[in-house]
Formats: sequence, C-alpha cells, structure tokens
Amino acid sequence: MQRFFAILKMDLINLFKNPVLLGYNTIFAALLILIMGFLCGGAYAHMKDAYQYYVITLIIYGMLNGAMTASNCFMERDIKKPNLRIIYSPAGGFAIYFSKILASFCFDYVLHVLMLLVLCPLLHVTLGNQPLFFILLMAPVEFGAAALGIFFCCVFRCEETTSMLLSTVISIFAVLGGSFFSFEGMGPALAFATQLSPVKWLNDAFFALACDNDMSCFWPVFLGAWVVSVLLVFGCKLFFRTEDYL
Amino acid sequence: MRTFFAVLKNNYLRTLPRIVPMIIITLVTIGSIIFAVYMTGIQEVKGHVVFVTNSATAIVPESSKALSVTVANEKPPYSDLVKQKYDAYISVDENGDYQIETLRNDDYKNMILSLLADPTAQVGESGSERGVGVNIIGFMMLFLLMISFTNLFAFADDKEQGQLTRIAASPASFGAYLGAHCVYCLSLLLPEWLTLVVLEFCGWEIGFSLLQYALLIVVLGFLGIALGLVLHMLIKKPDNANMLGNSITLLTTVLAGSFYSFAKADTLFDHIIKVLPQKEVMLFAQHLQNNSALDHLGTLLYAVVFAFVLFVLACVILRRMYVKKV
Repeated sequence: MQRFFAILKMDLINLFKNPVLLGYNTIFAALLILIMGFLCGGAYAHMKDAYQYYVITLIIYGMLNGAMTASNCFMERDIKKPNLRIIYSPAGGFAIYFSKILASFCFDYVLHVLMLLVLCPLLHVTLGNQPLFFILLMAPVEFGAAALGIFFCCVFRCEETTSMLLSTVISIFAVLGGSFFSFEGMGPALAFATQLSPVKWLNDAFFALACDNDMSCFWPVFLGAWVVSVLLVFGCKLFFRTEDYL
Repeated sequence: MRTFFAVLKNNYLRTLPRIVPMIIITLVTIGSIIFAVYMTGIQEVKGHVVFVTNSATAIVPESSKALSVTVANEKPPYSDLVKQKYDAYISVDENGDYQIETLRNDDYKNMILSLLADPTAQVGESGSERGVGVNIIGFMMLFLLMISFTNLFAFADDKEQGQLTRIAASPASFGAYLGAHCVYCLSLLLPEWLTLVVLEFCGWEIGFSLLQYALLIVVLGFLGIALGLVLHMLIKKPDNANMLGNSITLLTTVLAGSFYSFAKADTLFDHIIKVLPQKEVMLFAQHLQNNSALDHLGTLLYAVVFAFVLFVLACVILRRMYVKKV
C-alpha cells in the first residue's frame, strides 16, 4: 500500500505541475461555458437559462475529457521510463495504471468541483435542491472517464492514436448528445441519433437532478457508471502488457 | 531542393505508424461535409411546443411547417425547456386565452402566439440564408485547422528530440526543411478536396466551384500550420501544444460562427470577433455565395496576412532559438 501511495503522490504532483492540463480543466472549460452561454443568451428571456444549459452540458463534456488527462499522464514520454522501472520493482504493474486512473480522477474531480463552486453562484445556475447529489453523481463519471483513457492507452499502446481516437470519439458523442447545440428540435432523424449517444443519457440524468430535483435517474446512472468503471479497470488489467509498454 | 524532397519523403514514411488516427480524423471531416450537405436541406422548424390539456374536447392547435405541436395530459418537466427539447408549454385558461410558459424572450412568445392564431402566418426574419457552400466550409473548418496543425507532429518531434539543432547545423537549408513540412501538411488535406470532387461529379449541389474550394482549403490549412508553428515555438512538449491548439481552435472557430452564426450583425460583439481570421474566412464564403467575393477580397486577404504574420514570427524565433544557438 505504501508503495502505491508513493506512486500516486508523484502522479498527483506531476498533474498539478502541468500548466496546460491545469488550464485545460479550469480556464478553458470556464471560458467555453461563459462564451457559449453569452452567445446563446440572446434567445432567452434571462441569460441565466442559457448558462444553466451550458454549465451542465459542458461540465459533462469536461468530465469525459478527463480521459485525455489520464491518457496524457499515462503515456507521456518523460514518465514512461520511470514507469518501466516501477514495473520491474516489487510494486508491480497494477500500481502503475491504477494510480494513474486514481490521480487523474482526483485531479479532474477537484478542479471541476472548484469550477462549479465558482461559476454557479456567479451565473445564478442551480444544481438542484441538493447540490451534494449532483457533485456525488459526478464522481463515477469522472472515474469512468479516467479509466476509459487508460483503457484506450492499454489497448492501442501509442499516444497519438489514443489521444486522436479518444478526442474524436468523445467529441462526436458530445456533439450528438447536444453538448454544444440541442439537436432535438432538428428533425426526427437527428432526434433519434441524439438518443444513441451516451452523453445524452448523462445529460438527461444531470438535467433531471438539477432542474427538476428528480432523483429517479440518480441510482441507475450512479451504479451504471461505477460498473462501467470497474469493467474498464479489469479491461486495463487484461490488456496491460508489460513488455509492450514502451 | 534535395533537402525538400528528402524531408517530404521522410515525413510520409513517418506517417505510416500513425495511419489509423489520420484515417479516422479524415473520415470525420468527410462526414462533416456530408452532414453539411444534409443539414442545408432541412426545413428549420421555428418551435416545438407542448399543448397541455386534460379535457378531450379542447381544440388542439394544428401543427404546421413552422410550429410542431405535441399534445400531453401532463406538463413535461421543467428540464425539457432548459434542454431545448421543447420551446414552450401552452395551456388554455378559463377565458380561452393561451397561457405560454417559456424561457425564451418576448419576441419569441409573440411569434408563438401569432403562429397559434394563424398557422400560415409569416413570422420572423428569414435571415441571411446560409447556402450549402458556406455550410460545408463552416463545418469543415474546425477539422481542417486541427488536421493541419496536428500533422506538424514530425516537426514537433524533430524539435523535441533535438534533431532540429542538428538540421540547422548541417548544410541543409532551413527554409526547404520547413517548406517540406508545410507541403506535407497541405497534401494531407487532399482527401477532403477529393471528396468534394466526387460529390461534384455525382451531381450533388456543393455550392462553390472546385477551384474556390481548393483556395479556401489551402488558406485554412496554412492558417492551421501557422498556428501550429507558433504553439510549438511557445510550448516545449508536443502533446501539450496539441492539446492547447485543439482548445484554441475549438473556441475561436465556434466563436467565429462556423457551425452556427450567433452574432447579430453590427453589434459590438460582431465587430470584436471580426479579429478572428476564421470569421473573415466565413464572411468571404458568404460573399462568395452572394457573388460579391471580388469586392470583398479584403476578408480573405486578412486571413492570409494573419497566417503569414504568425508564420514569419514563428520562423524567425525558431531560427533564433535553434540556429543561432549552434
């Protein structure tokens, strides 16, 4: 355990010392919300309704992009060699990828919650009667995204392939799920395509929680996301081959 | 010249291990072109409303081309309004008047009311219609920019691993080396143009001529390359530079209204975003559609000059960083 925490600590320090990742998860995400809300605010009676939409959809987009954080911190060139040494140390392979998942989960989760704490009062956005549940529901999604990033790394074993694939897959699902524009009003074909995107399901659950105080979606999404996360971690175990990690 | 072809050939060889992600992003771009063609044909509905009623005898307003009406016994949750699944909830009070619950502004409310009274009413300005050509360029723009700067990976690798210093110290010409990278990046935008050629020959309406598309694609590609060079100049690690580049392009391209034009004409905001080269390219495409491109050549020129300035700046500083040091 002690060995694992030593690695986890180093991973966390590495993440928090990376200015681009920090900026991506805070400033960029906040700017995106502010700009999109501002742009679409004109169509609404109150600006806050536009912000309400974008705070929720774009925070979900940000959470899923946690996969990029994870893959970045797993496959970075500088970190590969130390990792290779850890593989042959008593700590073993599991400590490497699991600590990366855990570290990027903590990193993203902390930054996103901080961002919500700042943005919500500022933009008069509500997270429902019990904001705690909203924040609680974010946890498995963040963890799942981080596990997905590492899983892709383990399967494809090449940083460029992974990040390109991940960002494309996530962006397509996000656009389809209505993270940037709602597609539901644009013809039956698009409305159906929207339903296929997992991002749409997440959006629905978070919107129900924030706007209607409707808890019916909480447990299915919460448990579902944890199940997916655990499956992905098992997938990592299955596909992580020490000798190919270079 | 020998440097040029050697680097070019080497770049293509270095592409092979990364062929899968490249094919994927190219397919996505081609998908966006087809999506743009599809989207242009769709008649946009002005509003989706829910008519909430309990009585079976209530007179339900009819759906029309401009307004789609759904009938429900119970009011759908508030979140459906926020999600823009529906634009308004309508009910009838005792006096027989429509009660409208919506998040939209009063103009929108009045439009719905007049549509309910008379489904054939002409409402709202049709606005400046975006033709298929403008849509194609707009949808493609984000991907073209991303492709052209991620394909500087060979250059970024050279820089990170110190090859650049060695190249600068060798008799090889720095200009030819950089030129080869640019030509390589631009050549990878060829599949998109070929898709347009295929669409044109299959008889689809694509708006602009192939030559015009080639010009716009080259300008956008060059813009992407210039942005990529600046980023690689500022940031040491290639993956960090790529990540920052992706964020910047996404933000500025969406702002420039490539997917959907937000800015109302002649507002302060509209003038501010004209600083963005992407916005100018979109304006140029709009003028091209209206056959007034020659009078507004300045818009395209702005984008070219913008890219050129970035490019020269990056080259000069890179030279200073890596050539003089030797």
